[in-house]
Amino acid sequence: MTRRLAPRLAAAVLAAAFTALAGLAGLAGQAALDRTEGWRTHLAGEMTVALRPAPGADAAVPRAAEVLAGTPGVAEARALDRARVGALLAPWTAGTRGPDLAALPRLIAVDLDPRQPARRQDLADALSAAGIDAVVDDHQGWRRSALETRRRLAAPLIGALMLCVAGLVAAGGLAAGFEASRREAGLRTRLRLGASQLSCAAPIGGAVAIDLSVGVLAGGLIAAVLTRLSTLTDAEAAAGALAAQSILLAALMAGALLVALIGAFATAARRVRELEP
Amino acid sequence: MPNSQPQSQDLAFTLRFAGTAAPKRAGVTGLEGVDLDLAPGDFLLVHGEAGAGKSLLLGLAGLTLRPSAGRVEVLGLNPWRLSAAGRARLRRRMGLVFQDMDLIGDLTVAENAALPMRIAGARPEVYRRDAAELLDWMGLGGRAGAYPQDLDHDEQQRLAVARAVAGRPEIILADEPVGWMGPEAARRVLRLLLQLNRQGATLVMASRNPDLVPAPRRLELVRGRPLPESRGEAGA
Repeated sequence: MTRRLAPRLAAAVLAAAFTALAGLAGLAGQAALDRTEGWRTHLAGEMTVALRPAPGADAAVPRAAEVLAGTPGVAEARALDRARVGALLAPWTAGTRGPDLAALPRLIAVDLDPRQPARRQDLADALSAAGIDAVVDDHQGWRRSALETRRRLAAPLIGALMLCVAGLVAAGGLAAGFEASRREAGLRTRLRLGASQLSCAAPIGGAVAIDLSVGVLAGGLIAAVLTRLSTLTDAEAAAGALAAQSILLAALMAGALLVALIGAFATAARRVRELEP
Repeated sequence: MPNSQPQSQDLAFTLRFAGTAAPKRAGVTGLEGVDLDLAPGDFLLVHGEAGAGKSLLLGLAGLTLRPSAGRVEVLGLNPWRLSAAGRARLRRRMGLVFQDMDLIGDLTVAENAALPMRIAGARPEVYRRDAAELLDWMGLGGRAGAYPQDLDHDEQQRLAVARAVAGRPEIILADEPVGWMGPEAARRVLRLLLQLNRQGATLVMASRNPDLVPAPRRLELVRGRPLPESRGEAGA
């Protein structure tokens, strides 16, 4: 009895482990991709205007903000106070004593009209026409950086999912291999009596499908619990994100079961073919 | 006994061997130079000592063994040029009694007897009825729900014969079909096989006993080689 149960249990555990791994990789990947996409979208909706540190720059700031706010395609322009600019630039400018605020540029954050956003050149032209010396940053560099991060995340994510596919195929193959060995004498007799290879292989696949389904379900639950525990601390986790995660996890579980069953049926068919005289 | 109406009457030969050989296996002599033509309704008794090659000959005919040389034709076809599905279809037209019986331990007696009919795609009510009828005829009606391992050797062999004839086969290959049976059961089983043979099935029976049953055609094997076939004696 134990000899019969051990391989079934091993296949179910293997299926559970790789399904959990696939679930965690998929959910983590989705979260990371969502974040980078949000970052990129946010960066695309705004620009930053920098007034070089110079005598009279402080006086030019309100005027520049006014010019920018009046430019078509701009929703809002807000001058950032010195302390805020110091905090933003601290990672680049701060030594052990903190930045020299007087030497920093003055920054204006510009929110673009999402329906018809202004282009970088539009803002530069408006400022130039008003005689204000400023640099307009449309965040191209940051957006490229966000896209690069997405690309870099995709490779390990695909690698992890491929590993899971291989593991699930192995789990299905293992289960079907043991089942075929257990039924070998009966299969040989059926083939001698004229049973088709398909009719011999199909019941093997069917028999292991239950074990694999249990394994995949357990793996999905493990992934769901671990993901839920990690997001409990995130107060911003919204109901919409939870629904998206559930749909993704369900799709990953269905895919995992399909992959494991393909492995099982392929192994069953090969073993039956080997038994045919 | 359900009616068996073989469908091979339009074939000149149901089974042909032409210079056929079977490979040697560990400790067992091979088989070589077998030439044989069997028509629908023929009955051939193959006899010889243990290890003479009788089971190999039946294995070649029953497509459980691939010839190492020469050719085997079954029901007008070369089975080894067919696809696996084609060979399976041919096997469904044969009934085999294996020396080791090859009963399936996790199927009941009734399920074992009905297996060829199930494989051939018969409807459940048909194969259940026919299997029950066969088992009654074989004296196994009371054991239909038992498992093969619960039967004694005599009963297991009767079940193996019942399964072999259950598929209404055109060719019956029986390897020592009554070796474990008592005289009464053996007479009954031989009568059944000969009755099916008279109805048109080609019957090839292998036995160490040359006097097991009067056969119109006899082939003696000696250390894997056939002696000239003897013909003419009427069937029982």
